[in-house]
Amino acid sequence: MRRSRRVASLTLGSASLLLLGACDDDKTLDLPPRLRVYPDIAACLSVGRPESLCRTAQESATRLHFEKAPRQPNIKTCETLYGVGNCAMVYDRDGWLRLIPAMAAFVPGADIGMGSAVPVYYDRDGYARVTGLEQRLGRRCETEDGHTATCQGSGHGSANGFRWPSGQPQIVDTVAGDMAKVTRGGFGRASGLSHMSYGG
Amino acid sequence: MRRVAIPPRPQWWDRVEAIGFDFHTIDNAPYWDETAYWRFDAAQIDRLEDTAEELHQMAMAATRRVFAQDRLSLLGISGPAADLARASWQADEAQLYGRFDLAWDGHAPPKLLEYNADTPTSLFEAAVIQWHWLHDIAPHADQFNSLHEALVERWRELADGHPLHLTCLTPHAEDEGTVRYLEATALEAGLAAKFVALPDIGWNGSAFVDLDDHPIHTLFKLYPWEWLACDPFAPHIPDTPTRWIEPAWKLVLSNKGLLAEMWDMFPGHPNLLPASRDPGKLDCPRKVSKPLFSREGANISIFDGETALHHVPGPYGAEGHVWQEWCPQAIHDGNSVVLGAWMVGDRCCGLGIREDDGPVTRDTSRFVPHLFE
Repeated sequence: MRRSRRVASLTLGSASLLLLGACDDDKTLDLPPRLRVYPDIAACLSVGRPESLCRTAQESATRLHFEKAPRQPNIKTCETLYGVGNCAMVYDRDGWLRLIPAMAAFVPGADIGMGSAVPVYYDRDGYARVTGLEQRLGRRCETEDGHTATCQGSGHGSANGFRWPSGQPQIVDTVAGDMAKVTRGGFGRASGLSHMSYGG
Repeated sequence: MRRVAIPPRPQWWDRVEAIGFDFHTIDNAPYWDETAYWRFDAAQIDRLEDTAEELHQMAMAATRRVFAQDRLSLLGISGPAADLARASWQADEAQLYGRFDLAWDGHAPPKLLEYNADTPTSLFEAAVIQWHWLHDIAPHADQFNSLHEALVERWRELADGHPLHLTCLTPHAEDEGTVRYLEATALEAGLAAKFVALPDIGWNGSAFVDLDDHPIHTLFKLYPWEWLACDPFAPHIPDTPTRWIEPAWKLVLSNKGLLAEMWDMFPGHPNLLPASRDPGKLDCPRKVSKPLFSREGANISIFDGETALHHVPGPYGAEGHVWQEWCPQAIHDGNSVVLGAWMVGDRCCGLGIREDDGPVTRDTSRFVPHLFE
């Protein structure tokens, strides 16, 4: 029997494109060297910011995170990339259960020159990343009370399994980010025939 | 095997677009053509399947000899490309898929025209679009098409649970359509899959990374290896753990020079056309010259004696040519008809047919569906 049985219900389109996830305008972040990110609304309120701003930012960042966070097929792969205890589950529109890095905090858009709030998660090396952006935002600093931060000494307490106090902002040392370390454009040059097909 | 003219489905373009086929028309000419279909009987389909699987074994045997006797330079493969090919062959890297192009009249032995084993396209059309067509037109008939299940199954074997990245140049509707379909089959296999455009792949000093800076563990690329090997990032390839699909040894399996290698190893085999790097060794009036790395029919010339009957322009051929006896079996009522027999791993699991008014099948050649009863 040669007939294909499962293909009939298959459609292509938005479901798979969802996984492409990247903001197009991601290279225009206006970052202060020390960036406050908020794990929850209480942390946002604790520094005197308006409740409506905190609430709206938290909600839109959460929505964006679930849509754009990088997908992993299982908990093992996910924790390898993001650290033990740092993964969350999500059901995608195609019905698949996948693992994503847990959203650790949000940043109001105005703080980084963006139109809307963005979600932040941490990778296994303790680097903060903005969901959907290509490069690392920076390293988390040690904070005493949410205001005084120690940002020197890379690798400080920022490996797997770190936990944050709730209700207090976290500080990210954006100078320790690697905005310029990755080079791109090294593939796809040889032909010079970028719009030609070669499928045969 | 016969061609049956039928009226196309009303609003057929809406039907195919609804399932994600957005390149059914190329340069205002139909690429998907359902004004006819090709009809086979079950014995003919069995024969095609057996032929393709035997040809695959022969092509693999010829590839083994090329590496064992270091005949890569005869195929125009040298320098970094040869190193990449040898390393991936020694590592026994697994392959995903390929497409044999066969000429056939339904009776005499099918003849191998070439093996598109590195960057075959028209996969989505063969696996999905003609399947939906069959469902609409002749739901009780059968089709040589288990491509979808075979690909899903193959991904499970290949990726071993690791996340998969897929890449090609963009924008390109046809190539992106093929890659998007492969991504869907990988997702169905339970893999995490993510597209990254070829120029967006980054190098961080120790690994290739995607736009999120995630290391690329396994990468499917719809882009020729002979071009990859010349790209600025190529020197990093041996230093990284990234697994490439198709693997670099497909430089040999997809090389048109393999036609001469196969004829040399299996002279007179009923499914092979005489082929040689030396046109003087072909004892026939009409011959076809193919560049070793040609794709989409580009730079193929047909000669009658010394006279060029037909030539397709294109950018290929600098690395040399192979000569093959011209095959009249491919001509049906003035159209060139090429049967694409799809391989997944080492199994043949589908058929896609292309027609062209001219004597050479090209990227614009019409895809015509088939069925069998």
